[in-house]
Formats: sequence, C-alpha cells, structure tokens
Amino acid sequence: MTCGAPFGSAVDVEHRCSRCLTLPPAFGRARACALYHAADTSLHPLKSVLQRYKYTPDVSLALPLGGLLAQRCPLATHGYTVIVPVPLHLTRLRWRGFNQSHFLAYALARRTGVRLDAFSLVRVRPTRPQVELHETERRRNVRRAFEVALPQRIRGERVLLVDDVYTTGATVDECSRELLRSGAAAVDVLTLARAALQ
Amino acid sequence: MAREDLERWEERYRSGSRCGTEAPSEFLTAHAASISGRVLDVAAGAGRNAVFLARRGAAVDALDISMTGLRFAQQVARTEGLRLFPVQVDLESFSLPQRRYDAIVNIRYLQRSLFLPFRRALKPGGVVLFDTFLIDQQALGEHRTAAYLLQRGELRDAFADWEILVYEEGLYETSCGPSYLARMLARLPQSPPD
Repeated sequence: MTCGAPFGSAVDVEHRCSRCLTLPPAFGRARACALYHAADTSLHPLKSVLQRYKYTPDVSLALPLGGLLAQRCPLATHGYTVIVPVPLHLTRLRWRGFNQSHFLAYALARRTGVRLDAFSLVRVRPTRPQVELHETERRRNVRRAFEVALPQRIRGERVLLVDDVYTTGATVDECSRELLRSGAAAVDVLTLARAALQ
Repeated sequence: MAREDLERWEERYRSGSRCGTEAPSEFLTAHAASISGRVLDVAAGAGRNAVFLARRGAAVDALDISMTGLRFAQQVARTEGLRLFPVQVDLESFSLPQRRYDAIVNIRYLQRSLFLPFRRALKPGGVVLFDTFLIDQQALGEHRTAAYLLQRGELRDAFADWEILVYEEGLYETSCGPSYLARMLARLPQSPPD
C-alpha cells in the first residue's frame, strides 16, 4: 500500500508490507510501471532494455522509455507541482554521460505539463552502485548523500520523485527525506520498473 | 570539458563575472536569422546564447556539465516561459541524438570529437555555428590548454565538405575583452556522405 510491493497472497484489503511496517519510508507512496525479479536472468524485456540504457549506455532509449513511463504511469499526475529526478554525482555522470532518471523525468514532464526541476536536489557525495550491495548496506550507502541546493524551489511543493528502478527503495527514501526536510509538502515516487528481491 | 575548466567556470559563476555568462556571442547575434527551430547549444554554460535564441522563439536544448550554470538558465527559462531545456551531460561521453536539430551552436568551446556527431545530430540542411578561441589566444597571456584551442584554418578544413556560409578568424573585441576567434556558419549538405 505504501511502497507498492506486490503481495503473493490474495488478500483483497490494502495493507503494508513488512518492510514498510518496520521501517516506514519517508515518501507517501511508490509506484512502478512494471515488475520484474532482480535475480531474473531470463531476460525480462524491460530489464534488458533498462540495462542497455544504463550500462551500455544508450541514450537513444531515453525517448521510448520516457514515453513508456508517461503512458503507463500508474499515478494521477495532476496532483503534483513538480517532477524531480533522482540526481547523479558528477563522477557517475562523467561515466554515463547523462542522468538516466533526468531523461525519464523530462519525458514525463513534457507529457503531463508538470514542471521539471532537475537542479534543486543534488547528490553531494559519490556512492557505490546500489546493485552491488545487500539491502542493509544500501541504506548506509546513500545516507546523507543528497542535499537540496535550492530549498526555496522545493518548499511547499508536492513532489513526484522519478527514478529508473526501485529495488529496496533506499535511494528514493533518502531523497524523499531530504526533500521533506527542505519543506516539500509531500513526496511520492514513480519508477519505470520495480525489481523484486525474491 | 577538462576538470580544471569546469572549476574555472564554477569560479566565474561564483564571482558574478559578466564575461561569458551574460551577453550573447556577437557572431551569433549577427547571424541569428539563420538559427531557428529546434536548436542544440553545446557547452551552454549559464545559457547566455541559449536564452537569446529561446527569446527569439527557438526551442533550445542547452547542454552543459555544470549544474550552477544550468540552474541559472532554468530560472530564466521558467520566469520568461521560454522553450529552453537545460540538461546536465558530459559531452565527452554523451552521444547526441540523431537528426533532431535545425541548428547547433558551439560557442567558446572545442571538442573535436563532436564534429562527426554534429553531422548526424542535424536534420538535412541544418546549420552549425562556431565562435571559438584560436591558438593565438595564448599570446594574450590568459592560461588556456592548447588542446582546447583551434589552429588557424582548422575549422574550415574540418568542415570542408559542408556549405560554408561565413568564415572569419582573427582578433575581435568582445564582452570578455580582445579575443582571437574562429567564427563559422556552415550548412550540412543535403545528401549524407558515402
């Protein structure tokens, strides 16, 4: 209900997953357009395209993937006043050449007319790629990695935070904490994919 | 852009210097009529040229590695409702989109590895505008890395198979003081190379 984790049981009342119950996230809710298993090696179509987008890297996929995010967005976007992509540290930007989340957010902003702000939330220190880490390490890895450089642009805003993949939610949770600390009225999370750990 | 160049620009933004951050390139203003539609501004900095073009009605993608400069450009774009899209990228590792632009402006920046991607990023008949430092700039005492300066005639030679509409080089008086520059406006041939 909060983080959007799928449940195996056929319970028809909405409820929170165990992770959200023990460690409530800072964001209101998180939703994704598609689900795959993080350990899936059978080449889930979206997973393989996203990997190509991020690790080749292939920026030409930004437009179709952004279009997919906008088209299949499971959230009503009219309630938000600003779209904020998860920022990259300069070190990672130099490697990839671009911020994959910024391009997805751009497509969504174009489609919805909601303002895009890719410059107020910044990553102030480089972090190890989350994909290399276990769940508990991930939280520690991104702690205090983000800052709002321009709080006046965030204060009072209803933020839709955009990233490519949600796995444990550690990154978007830390971003949300920082946005709320800077006065955001609300933060929800939208990702293209949700990678389930089991 | 080299790391030291990024730091130099960040310092310039912090110090509030007008040089290279406010008034658009004189060569661009002189040939603005040729630059319209969807435009790419590489190494856009704080957006002086991108803002100028967007105010004239162009839709401008402004690329730069510095957040500080882009933040400024975004603020102007937002206040004035311009079609200006600032994007943080590292041009050394970013691949430009293909057949997207009517014009590309490359001002006070040199990355030779972009010359071929410029050709692919333009629509047929698109134009490129350069206003970039020459090697002679070193003689004016300002410390600059030779690798980011053009040799005399180099730009014209590199674009020899384009339709060169304007080419000039020499010493010019600019908002940053006297500068040795190569300036070119060239049109992409309609047919792609073999």
